[in-house]
Amino acid sequence: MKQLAGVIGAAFGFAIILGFAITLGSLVSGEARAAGPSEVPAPAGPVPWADAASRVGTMPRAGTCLVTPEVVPLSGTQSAPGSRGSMTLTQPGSPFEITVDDGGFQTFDLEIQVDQLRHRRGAVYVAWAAKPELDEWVRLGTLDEENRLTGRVAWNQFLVFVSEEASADVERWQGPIMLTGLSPSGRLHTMAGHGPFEAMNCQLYF
Amino acid sequence: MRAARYLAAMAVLTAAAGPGGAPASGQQHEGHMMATDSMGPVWRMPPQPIPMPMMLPGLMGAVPGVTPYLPDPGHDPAMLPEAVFRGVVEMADGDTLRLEAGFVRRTIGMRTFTMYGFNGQYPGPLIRVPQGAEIIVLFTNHIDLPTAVHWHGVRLENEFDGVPGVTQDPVEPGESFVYRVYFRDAGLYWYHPHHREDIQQDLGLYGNMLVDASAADYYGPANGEDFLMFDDLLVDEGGLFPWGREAAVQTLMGRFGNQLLVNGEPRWEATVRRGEVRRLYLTNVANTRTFNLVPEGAEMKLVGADVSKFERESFISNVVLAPAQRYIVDARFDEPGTYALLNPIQAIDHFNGRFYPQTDTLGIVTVLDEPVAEDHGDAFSTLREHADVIEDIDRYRPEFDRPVDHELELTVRVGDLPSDIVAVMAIDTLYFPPVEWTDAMPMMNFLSTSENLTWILRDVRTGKENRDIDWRFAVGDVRKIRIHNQRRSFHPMQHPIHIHGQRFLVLSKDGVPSDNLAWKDTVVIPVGSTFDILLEASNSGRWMAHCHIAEHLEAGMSMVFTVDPG
Repeated sequence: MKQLAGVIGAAFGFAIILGFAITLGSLVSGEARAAGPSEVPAPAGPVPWADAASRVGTMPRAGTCLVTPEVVPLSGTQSAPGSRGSMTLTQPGSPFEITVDDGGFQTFDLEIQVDQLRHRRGAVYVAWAAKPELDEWVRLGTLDEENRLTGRVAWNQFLVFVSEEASADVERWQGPIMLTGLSPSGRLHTMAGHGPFEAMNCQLYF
Repeated sequence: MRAARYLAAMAVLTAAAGPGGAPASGQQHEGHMMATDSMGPVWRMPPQPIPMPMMLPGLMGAVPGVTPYLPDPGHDPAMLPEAVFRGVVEMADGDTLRLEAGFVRRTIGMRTFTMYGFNGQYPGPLIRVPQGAEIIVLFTNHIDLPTAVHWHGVRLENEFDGVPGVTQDPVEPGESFVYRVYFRDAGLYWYHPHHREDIQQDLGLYGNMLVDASAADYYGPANGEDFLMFDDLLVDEGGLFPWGREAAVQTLMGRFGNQLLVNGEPRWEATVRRGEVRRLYLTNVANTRTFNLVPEGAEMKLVGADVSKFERESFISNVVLAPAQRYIVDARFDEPGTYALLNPIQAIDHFNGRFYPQTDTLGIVTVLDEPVAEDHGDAFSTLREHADVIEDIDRYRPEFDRPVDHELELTVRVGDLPSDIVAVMAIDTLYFPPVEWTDAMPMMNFLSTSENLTWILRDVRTGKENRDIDWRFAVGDVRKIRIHNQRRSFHPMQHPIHIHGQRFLVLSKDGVPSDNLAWKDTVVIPVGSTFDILLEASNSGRWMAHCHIAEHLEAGMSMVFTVDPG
């Protein structure tokens, strides 16, 4: 009986991983069905951590600096091995101290900083955010000359990825995905596994 | 003169209370079963928000190590008076109010419970006074627990702040206390017990106070007012879910209810005319739940916070209201129809590792086709700048850039929680959202008590914690306090921090300066965030500062500071 349960569990797990892999694959190849871009309001005012973006592993600690923005890594894909960067998340100001929208979604200001990326002549690099189910996505914008970008996202869990494009005018990604990252909520573990992030190497984010 | 009134009131109250004026203490009635709570004070598994395993395998059948408690009037609850909806008590300077905490029978939905009430009402009477008034409150305790009344946000004399162990002894069952309450600031306030408030406030002991400013145009014009107190109650098929008698339970996340309440009712209902502007006075009286209020069919304008108006009005789409906080909002209903007051949140399903939307309907507003007689549409669409507030705050702006005077860190320490829970939490809480909107782990929360878990205010510079902290100010001092909610702890969670007897400005959040200030007495610190507040020490005495999640307060999260006379 236990063996049967194990087989069923393994098959279920494999199905989840396979499903995720297929979906991710179609995302990378630009074939995901998307609901289209949502509005991405510009961040209000300067991003506070532009000069203080820390790398993972050097997160400020209480006692030295009490302010702890969330910093998560962006990792190169097979299309851009060795590429890396980071995404720094802060919560915008609010008269209510907690910043959620009228759907209850947490709002984040994010700053993307790509540190290492081999540029192809004439290419532009566009950043996107997508919900874990990949049914909604937004175009965050184009990396500037310093490989930086700021934006705002009102989702609790999301993927961020950077695509290489021939033009900055693309309404959705067409070129290869170069870097990917996961919002801190990707650490949301479960008693049953890693939920929608079953295929992700969560250790990467600790 | 005021002292004479106070002494006279004391004499009247002592005579009125008399022996036998109150029921016997709960100790004398242990073992009685509640007719309205069929299972009585018996531990059982807490209700679950979504299907998930009730308890970790190793912990099946485990219950908190304290005695379950339900309110016990000592006689047949069916004989208790049915609570009535609150009345408004308009008071002038020098007036006296008799306030009694007692047992009531409450019908919520289709069910009847034994609960508490001030003056037999739910919520307690709405006290309305002019700014600058002082009233006498003759308070008598007719419930089965010691208690006291705290006048939340009011900058009154220290000895009347209503904090047992700090400003007074608890008022034992059958005993009385006379409060002298001076209303220095216009705005919206509330009163509630400050002794086992995890039980007493949850059972209905709370009421609003509105302090009217002398200026007629202090706020913009409105066609009407609504006072909404948001709460929740934890019930199951057995009735009210018990509280802990000797110590608070559910101290990890606080006691989330599964029956949401507005003014003690499952649903608020209102009918307005088309184009009407309603002034909404919003207060969160829940033990731990933060609300995200969204009124459909209305435009909203944020006017005021705890202790003052904002510098400038602003249009908003939702109001996030943490425990003990208040906001004053103008809402205009332009289109006929029926609209819901919603509480949309993104809850966490830890079992499946995902967020899921959860929306509760808290109220229904019917907008009639008939237009309002006096249309304030133009005034509503104009965002006022409040020169009086700006001028008041201007006196403190030179202090905005002062160095940080004190730093507080918010964290938690685990005692002898079951090791299975500690192990699972270590895996399951690697990520925390900035706010917990629901009890996502009720079975783990259930076993945490104020005896096996300690919530901590830590003075970063001295290392002192909770009641060992000994800050000292003088009247007139202005101090910058940095508060950081440590995310790398056993269970980080948002904390609404309330400072008694004073007022403060929220200068910045995570280094981003606030661009529209209001005086406050309660600030909610999301997980991982750092806030700088500017405290005006204006009121002498020994005062408490604490987390206003009732179970966190019971689990240690409080400190006392002294303001010496200037």
